[in-house]
Amino acid sequence: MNSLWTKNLIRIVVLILLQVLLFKRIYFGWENFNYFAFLVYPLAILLLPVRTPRVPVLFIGFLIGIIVDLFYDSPGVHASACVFLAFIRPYLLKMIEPRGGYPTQDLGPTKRQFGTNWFLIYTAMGLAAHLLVYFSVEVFTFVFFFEILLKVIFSFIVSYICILLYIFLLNPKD
Amino acid sequence: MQNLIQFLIRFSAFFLFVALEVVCFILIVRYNDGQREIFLNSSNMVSARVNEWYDGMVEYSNLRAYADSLAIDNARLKSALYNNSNYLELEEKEVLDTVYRQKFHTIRAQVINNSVTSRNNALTIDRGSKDGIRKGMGVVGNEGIIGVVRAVQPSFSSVLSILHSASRISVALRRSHYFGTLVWNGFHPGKMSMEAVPKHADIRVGDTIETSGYSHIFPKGVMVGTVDTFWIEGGSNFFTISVSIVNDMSNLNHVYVVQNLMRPSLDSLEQPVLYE
Repeated sequence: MNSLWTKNLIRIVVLILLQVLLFKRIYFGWENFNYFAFLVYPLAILLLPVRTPRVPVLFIGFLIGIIVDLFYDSPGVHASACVFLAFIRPYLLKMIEPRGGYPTQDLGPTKRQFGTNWFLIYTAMGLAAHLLVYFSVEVFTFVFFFEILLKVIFSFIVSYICILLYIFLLNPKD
Repeated sequence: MQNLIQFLIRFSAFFLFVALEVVCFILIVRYNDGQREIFLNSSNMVSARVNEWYDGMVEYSNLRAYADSLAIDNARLKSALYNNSNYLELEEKEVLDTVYRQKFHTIRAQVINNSVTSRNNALTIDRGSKDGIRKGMGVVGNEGIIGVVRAVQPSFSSVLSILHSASRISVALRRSHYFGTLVWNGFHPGKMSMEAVPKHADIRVGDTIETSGYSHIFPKGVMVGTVDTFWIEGGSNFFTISVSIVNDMSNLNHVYVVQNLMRPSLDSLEQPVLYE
């Protein structure tokens, strides 16, 4: 139990540092086409142990969001997306519950525990939800619906690749 | 009563979710006021220190490129200086020096945090109130303009980038002297628009756009960019000009904070007129 939470804490710190020191600085795009944002820190919320109660997940999500916001100069934007992701996480987990349910002992929803296919679907849904809320809140109006959609799609592709790289390189057990 | 408490416990996660989202939205809306963000912006000591430490590490690997760019800048300034001295010798001796009272003072600073990808961008520089920086001063680069100081701490300042929805810079066409407002519509960090240029203005593609000096923030005549295209929005009486800005906002290192030494007297002159 304890080592599980220590690992999660380290992962949260590492992902936030990666996000604000490395991925924030990547500027990728060309003339009239900068729809790319690299967001990897949602993985920290997605990988919290499966049986974490919902209230702590919400608080952890909010904290992660606020810390990222400090660096992005955008108080509340990342935090609201994180809180939303933390809120829908139990529903995502329920939607793709493996046959026979989740094991009784607490473990992280990782590729190694539940298989590659399961993990790909889980992260894709979580990341897409996070990006959709993030860009909607950032623009703060639905006038630019088409631009928001483009940003979500292209950022999803690059962020998803980064997240998969992280997972396939480190392949954490929990 | 018991039912109510049970109901609250049962849906505690949902209520917490709503409460946290409300907190987030309050933060977002307050931030849009543009006034009270100091407590959470990146002038915040912790993130500024982390960024400074990281920049210190990265900067070392880029020393050669920086040295080159500074050398080029020096060469440009030197040539300007030499030309100037040549010219001065031709001037008549009777002209008193007091005619040329210094109007602008520049303070060198280094960018330690920057962004170009969000809708509202800001940057942090490593100079603050103890180096003489005050809220409202302009920031320029080797070429072009960067933004306006919005918050100051003893050793850091936060600069509202020109790539911010609240940024409005007074600019003018160098050739025909018509002026307008430079704003950013949020899509490409190299493209801005100049708005509110009257319909009868004489504009050509490729015209240089410079600061007008009307706001007393930037000196007059700093080059900002060139005219890309221009058009009149349907139903409007003004041109909108698409501007390619001359500097690359995504690659900033050394910048200069500009202090207008005559601003207090100009403000005291103009302020009462505004409220009349």
